[in-house]
Amino acid sequence: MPILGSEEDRQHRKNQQLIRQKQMIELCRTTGQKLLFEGKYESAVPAALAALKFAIQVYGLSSIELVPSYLILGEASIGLNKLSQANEYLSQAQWTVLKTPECGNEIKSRLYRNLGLLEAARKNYFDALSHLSNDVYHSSCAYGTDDIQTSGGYFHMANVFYRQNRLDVAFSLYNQVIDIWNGHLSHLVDQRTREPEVTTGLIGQMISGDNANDIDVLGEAQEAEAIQVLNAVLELREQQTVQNASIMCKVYYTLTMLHFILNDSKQAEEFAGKAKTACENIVSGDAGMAEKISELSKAIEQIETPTS
Amino acid sequence: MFFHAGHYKPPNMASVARLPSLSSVGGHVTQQMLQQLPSPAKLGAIVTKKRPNAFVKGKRDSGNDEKSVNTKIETERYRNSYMHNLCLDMLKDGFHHSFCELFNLMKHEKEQQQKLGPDSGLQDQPLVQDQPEKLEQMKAHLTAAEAAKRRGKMDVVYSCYLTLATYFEQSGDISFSNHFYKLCLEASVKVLGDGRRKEAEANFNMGVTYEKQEYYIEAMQCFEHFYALTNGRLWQMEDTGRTLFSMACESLQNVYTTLAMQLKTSDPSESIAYLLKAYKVAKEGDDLEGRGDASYLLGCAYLDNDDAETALLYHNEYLNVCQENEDVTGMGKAHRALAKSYEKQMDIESAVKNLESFVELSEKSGDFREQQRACSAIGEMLNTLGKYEESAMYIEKAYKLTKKMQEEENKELVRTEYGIVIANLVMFGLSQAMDTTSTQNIDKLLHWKRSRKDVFAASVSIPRNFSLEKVVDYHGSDEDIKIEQDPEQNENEVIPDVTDTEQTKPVETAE
Repeated sequence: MPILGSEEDRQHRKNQQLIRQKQMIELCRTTGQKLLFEGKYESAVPAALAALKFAIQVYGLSSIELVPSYLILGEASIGLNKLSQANEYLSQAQWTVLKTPECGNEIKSRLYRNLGLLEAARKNYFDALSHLSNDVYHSSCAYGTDDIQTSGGYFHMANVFYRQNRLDVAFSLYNQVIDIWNGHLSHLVDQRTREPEVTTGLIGQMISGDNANDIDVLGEAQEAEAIQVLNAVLELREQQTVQNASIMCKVYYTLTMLHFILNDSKQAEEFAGKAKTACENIVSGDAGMAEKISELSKAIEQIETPTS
Repeated sequence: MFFHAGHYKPPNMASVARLPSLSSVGGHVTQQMLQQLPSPAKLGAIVTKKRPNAFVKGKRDSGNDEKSVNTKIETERYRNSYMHNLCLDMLKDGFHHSFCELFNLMKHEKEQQQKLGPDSGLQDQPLVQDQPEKLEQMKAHLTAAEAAKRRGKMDVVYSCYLTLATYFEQSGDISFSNHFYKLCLEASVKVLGDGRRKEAEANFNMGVTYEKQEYYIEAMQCFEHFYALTNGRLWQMEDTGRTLFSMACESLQNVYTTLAMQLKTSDPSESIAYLLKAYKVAKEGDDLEGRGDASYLLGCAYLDNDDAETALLYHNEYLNVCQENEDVTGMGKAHRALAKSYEKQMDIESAVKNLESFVELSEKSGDFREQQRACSAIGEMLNTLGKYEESAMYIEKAYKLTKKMQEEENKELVRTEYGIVIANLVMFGLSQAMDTTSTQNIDKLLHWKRSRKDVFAASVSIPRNFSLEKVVDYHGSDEDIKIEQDPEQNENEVIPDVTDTEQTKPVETAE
């Protein structure tokens, strides 16, 4: 049993505790976010609650640091169709944001995204669009208009437009989402294929510390978001009776890249094949795209051989 | 271990509805607050009341709740900046491309201003994002363009961007107009069914903007596209009826010429290459004047490059063009240029001939300045040839012209030349008289010594008011007597000139 230590000891222990708590907040939040993207709303709640609890311990009750947890709780409630519940959480978050003038654009963006989702779930499409517009605006301020963080806002807007049956707008937005992911994933793939020791070795999450410095990694939550968003778009696109080959090709290609980065070579290969056929169907032809696809296929084969 | 304490598994949905109490956290006060925290009493009450409605029908939900949401959005709008609201409006209507466009432009402008720092003086200039009128313009046209794009009407898109580009050009936001011209160009490529006319026009516009900002290489590329696209087409401007192809030729020629001028000193051969290109396009265009200018410049460049023969070729062409155009000044210019080329080739006779026609033409044109130049040029030429009498005649004419023009600087220069020529003349006569001894000559010499008045060349009238004596004095004595015809006269300029002619003189007389 530890005896009461000296002042120094206690200070040290306090600091240690604080650091651990902060780490826990981070872990719980990420877990919660990831579970949300995977659609496991029920399991996201305890994670968010834990994050909230630690946040209260560390930062106090009215801190802006509590907002992310509220947002996860809110989103989980929306997912569980507990809309009034969600409204409570989100109102709480909004109030905190309102009282904190120095609140960053990142948090505002996420707050408005959730508010938008809530309104969309209530079928108040007009308000939903207002909120989501705000989301896109703040996110653009924080990350830029063509960042994957912003793409989420576009995606939800697209969903709302789709439900409003304004298909042209919806698909235009879906295209933008795909473009953004395409750009980001291409960047990641480039980084991996450029360095041979990485393409043959470990990819994505398992990259060791020294390599991680020069390679951007898709975060866990981002991974989940990518899978969700891209698959949703693909599904919608495949449902359409008239399909535009070049757009389909792009969607397939983006998915190929995603699975390549997730180290799922089987899926990657499958999508690469689909991308190839789609590419061949493009009326005017697209040599650049075909080349990119074949390059990526080679890279996929490369990761397959050492493991098998 | 903390995680375990907090790892609370909700037994059912009800636990989601209310945050579980966190018994292990904080003291008494915190506990109390925690219980209040997740569901603020008032709000909770409102929501629970509305709740049944909310699930019955989405639309019916409107009542109080929707109003409160709406007013929330309304109040937010008051707090937001104009630009923020504008963006929201665009996004809400689904014009996300327009939003990206506008947002990134604003961001770029802001960054640019910050990068240049407070010393640039740009800091005081208002950003476009604070000018609602411009923002409205952008929104209107961008959204129209996006809507048209969705319908696949690229020509509408093109004209929308063009409107914006011209709008910003007029308001002086060059970087914006530049951007929109670029967008025009991108859109124009996709316009179908007009034989790529729009693409050509967009290239032209882009080229003009580049040229204005002195990006000549980029401008050249655009004009080259424009040229290639209009070649063989009969497209005309609606208002002037001029063919686009001739415009292409003209603008391309201008750009090539500018580029050539930039390279004149650093890379003469490259400069000539550009001039040749300019000449080629000028020939294809229907503008005779442009063709003349191109060949004249090319001739000058060759002359600078010591290739007098080729220079002659192009100068002759220029002469022909000017003759066709009945451009008297141009013809004079051509003759002078030709004279220079001949001079370089040591073909003095042809040079003089050309200079004479230059004089003649300049008289016709009635431009004093040209006339004076012509006279001076021929005077100088004749002076070096040793034909002092004729030279004196021309120089005198030039001198009189300068008097008419009342240009002090020029006047002094010509006056000095005049002095030199007359001094040469007297010197020539004197030495001739000395060489061939005859009683007549001795008389002349004696007369000269006595009066210091010219008796050798009777044909040239030397004005008495002209301080010939001083000049003559200088020639007569070995001492360096200052020429005092004008106290302001720059000695340095005169003395070397005089000694120069003195040095060259014996050679010429020997010939």
